[in-house]
Amino acid sequence: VKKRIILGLLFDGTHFYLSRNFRLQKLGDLNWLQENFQIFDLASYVDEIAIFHIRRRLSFEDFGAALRELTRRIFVPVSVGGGLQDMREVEGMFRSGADRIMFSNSLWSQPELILQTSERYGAQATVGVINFLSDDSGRASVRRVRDGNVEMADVEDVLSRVDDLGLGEVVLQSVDRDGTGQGFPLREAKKAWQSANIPFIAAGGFGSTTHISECLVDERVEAVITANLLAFLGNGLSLAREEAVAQNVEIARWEEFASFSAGTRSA
Amino acid sequence: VTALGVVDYGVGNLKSVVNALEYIGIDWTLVDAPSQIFQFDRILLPGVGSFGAAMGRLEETGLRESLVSAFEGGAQIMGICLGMQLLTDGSEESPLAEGLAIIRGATTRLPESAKTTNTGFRTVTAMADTSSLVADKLSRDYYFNHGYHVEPSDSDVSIGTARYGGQEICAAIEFKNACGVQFHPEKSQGQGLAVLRHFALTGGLRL
Repeated sequence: VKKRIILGLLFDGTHFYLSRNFRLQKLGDLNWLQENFQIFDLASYVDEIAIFHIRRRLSFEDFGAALRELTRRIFVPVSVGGGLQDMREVEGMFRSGADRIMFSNSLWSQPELILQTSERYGAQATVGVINFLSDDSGRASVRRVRDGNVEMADVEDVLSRVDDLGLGEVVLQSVDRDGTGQGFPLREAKKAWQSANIPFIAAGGFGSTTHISECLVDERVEAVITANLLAFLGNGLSLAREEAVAQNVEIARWEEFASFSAGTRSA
Repeated sequence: VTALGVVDYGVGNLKSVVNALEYIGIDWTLVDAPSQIFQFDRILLPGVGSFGAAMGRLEETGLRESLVSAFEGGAQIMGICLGMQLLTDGSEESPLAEGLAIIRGATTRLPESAKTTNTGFRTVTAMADTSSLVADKLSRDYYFNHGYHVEPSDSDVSIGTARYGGQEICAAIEFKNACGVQFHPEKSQGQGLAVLRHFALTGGLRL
């Protein structure tokens, strides 16, 4: 299967955001995003869109409506995550155009919701998100809240705990590099996931086309997510695809719909 | 352009398919009643979910009989993903459910050696003796998401294949006035939209 470049969007139900080290900067609504970032053009260069809902409690109706609006002009799979509380909301996301659901805090707080999603929609539609921190020694750890207590755990340990939840893929998201454009900490992440069998998606820190292709070249990386809209404005993501191809990464080749006009004949 | 009927039998998500049709300027209408089927020369049969549930809904609604009659009357039908599988005689997924039997063949589990589902982008390659939109450039990439695949009785029906689990699996079929794609054109960027438009304009997949 081909490797993927995924465009991440941070969304609160009405507005989109940029993030740096998980600190958020408000941008605007979908129209604003199209006017200023040509979001639908960016979407035509990627293999998937991942929409992260960044409010702890979801305005479920707003989110569903915005998702329906966004997916009107996006023709790749869409992953959605953040704040989903129960199967009714999970089902609502699928009905609104989601192809996959991403779970982060639910990995610890309600694993049964993840199991149910995987059983009903399949592992390929069920994705875990682990936000990790790196220290100077190269150790990757996860800050998680469980039963009201904050605790730190090794990513490796966390991966072994989520192994039986029916996840198809896990996103490893670097908190330190988030929004910095300094590149994804591949060395630390690889060390953490070397004993796990589950496919990985790298997220956090991508600031150049080289950052993306360096990650995709690694055999354990299935996909990368970048939500750094500023770094890849214009044709940045298209160039990232070209660079990945030049590095012999198996990645889908996209053709513009307009290029087919001459080739289609009426009956 | 002849208006396209999109079969709505209450399972799966039609939204992404009709969004794509809307975007490429194809006039479409949702069809959920048997008599409506005959108002259209071209009919799209999408599908997500299980074979048995889908055939059950087509039976309950009376759409099964109408679809077969429409095909026999010359209407052009295209199945997408599960919709393509429904065109066959039946599926290992739901052994008790009969398919539409418009295209002879069986729907079987993907190779055991592989993972349980084929999800992601794969290259579809034309069969040597066919020329079709899905492969006019020899090969193009499309998005797949399925656990079962079609094995047509007559291999000439298969007009495009994809490699999965060490085997070639059927990715596109065409027989008389029926055709189908195992991949999701509505999730496959420009080339996927082109497949949908080609069917809407010509009633088939071949150039």
